[in-house]
Amino acid sequence: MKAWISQNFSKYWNENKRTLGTILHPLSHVGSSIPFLVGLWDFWQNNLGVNPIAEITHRTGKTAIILLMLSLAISPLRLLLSWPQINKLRRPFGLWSFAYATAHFSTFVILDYGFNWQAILDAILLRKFILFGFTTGLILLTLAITSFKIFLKKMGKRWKKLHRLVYAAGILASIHFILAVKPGVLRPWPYAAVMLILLAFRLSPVQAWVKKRV
Amino acid sequence: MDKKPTLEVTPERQYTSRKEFIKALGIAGMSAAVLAACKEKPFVSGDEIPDATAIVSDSGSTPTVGSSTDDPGDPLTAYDNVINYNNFYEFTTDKEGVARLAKNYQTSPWEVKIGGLVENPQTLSIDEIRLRYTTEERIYRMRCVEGWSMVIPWEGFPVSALLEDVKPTAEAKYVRFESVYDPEELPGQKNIFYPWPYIEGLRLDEAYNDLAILATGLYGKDLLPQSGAPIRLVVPWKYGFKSIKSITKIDLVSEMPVSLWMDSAPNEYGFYANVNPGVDHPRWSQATERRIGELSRRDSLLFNGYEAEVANLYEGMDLAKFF
Repeated sequence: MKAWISQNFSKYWNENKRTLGTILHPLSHVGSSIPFLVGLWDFWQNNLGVNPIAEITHRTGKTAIILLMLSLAISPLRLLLSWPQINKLRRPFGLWSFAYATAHFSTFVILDYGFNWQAILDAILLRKFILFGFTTGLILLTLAITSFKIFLKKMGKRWKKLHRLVYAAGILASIHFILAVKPGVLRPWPYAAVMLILLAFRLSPVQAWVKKRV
Repeated sequence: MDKKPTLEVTPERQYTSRKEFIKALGIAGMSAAVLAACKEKPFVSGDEIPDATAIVSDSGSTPTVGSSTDDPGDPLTAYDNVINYNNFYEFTTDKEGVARLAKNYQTSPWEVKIGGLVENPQTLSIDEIRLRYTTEERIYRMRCVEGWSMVIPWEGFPVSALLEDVKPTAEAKYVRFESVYDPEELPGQKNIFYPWPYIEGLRLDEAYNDLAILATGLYGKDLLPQSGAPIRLVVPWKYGFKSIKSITKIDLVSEMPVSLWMDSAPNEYGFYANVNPGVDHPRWSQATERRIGELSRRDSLLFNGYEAEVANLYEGMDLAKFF
């Protein structure tokens, strides 16, 4: 029975993964917009808790990190599942991550500090964790701009090199989260752990090991 | 605490005004001028005492208070917000998750042991404490080190009243407070990063300051577990974490106690932890704060606005060094 299921599943999988990969592209946009829609709904329903500005800050930040992780998960999944079609998903997840990171930063600048540039500059330069977050944002901005096809063509090999900065973004975002909470608060650590695993897939010994197994 | 109507207790505004009036009479002209300059509000005369204001909460009960504002005239933080946004790591580090986890925590029976360098050590049940010490309403600002603040009407009595009963000896220099240790019931105490139980401390003269109270209630009701039931410290000129919750032990000691936060992150948290917009925390600028319920930030005040009452405790001290 078990063998029958796994056999049929793998048959179905092999026949349909190409189509599935194509469907996932529009679905990634729909899925990525859900946290935003939920946030709008909660705002409308006055359901953002006791400290709504902190809540919006935390939600947009976490969503940006999760989407960045999804973007970084595509290449390992492509390798593990021999599924080239999903490669296209890196861009929508990366762009959505940038969108939420922009919302995160805008919340900080507009809602939290009300365009008090003196305080904002002080925060970015003096608070280590904000500096880490700001740098992450600058990287995501650069990658978002150069994600258009013209740049891919113009830049050639340099494009690939530049977009390796996404690994730095993953590390910096994790540090940003860890330093943003008090020592001993464990919330950021599961995120950091997943990020580390995803980045480990980029190491050549790990890649060799994966390729051998697949 | 007797369940007497809160209107019978002196509203904090009138109380502090009277106290300052007496103080001002006895102090030389310059100090009096400083006091007057620090006070924006004129003294409140008897017929201006505000009526008891009912603040309706969603939970159906209607807590009552003697005034609807703090001394500078800022409105009280809604009861629902006060009891649903708590830093109480013994339960969870999620401020909005504490109330749910603390809901069924038993705080009765409860004993507080008072000892150390005292002539008259005692072990008091919470009922004995309520009987012995008459509480009064104190409306205080609470400034969290994380950069948010509330205005809370506490029910409490001065720490000094308790100290006078146990009679500290001449060697006593500090008061060391200890919270309940009960990892079976307090899931947060399984987090091995922190050296439980929670410890806090005050210099003896800080503890004797009239603003320092032991609170057993807020908004005219007994404290709920998430707010530190059945008895907690409130020192409004210091960051909130100094106001230790659910106290089981109070010791008079000769050495400066090491608090849980000093132990966990010595570069971030010092012994004094006075609210000070001029001394930054490495993670947060302390220049501004968000009052819960307000949209824009407001400037933070030295000693949380209680400069007139407590600045003399720190004369000649480098507050950036003794943070």
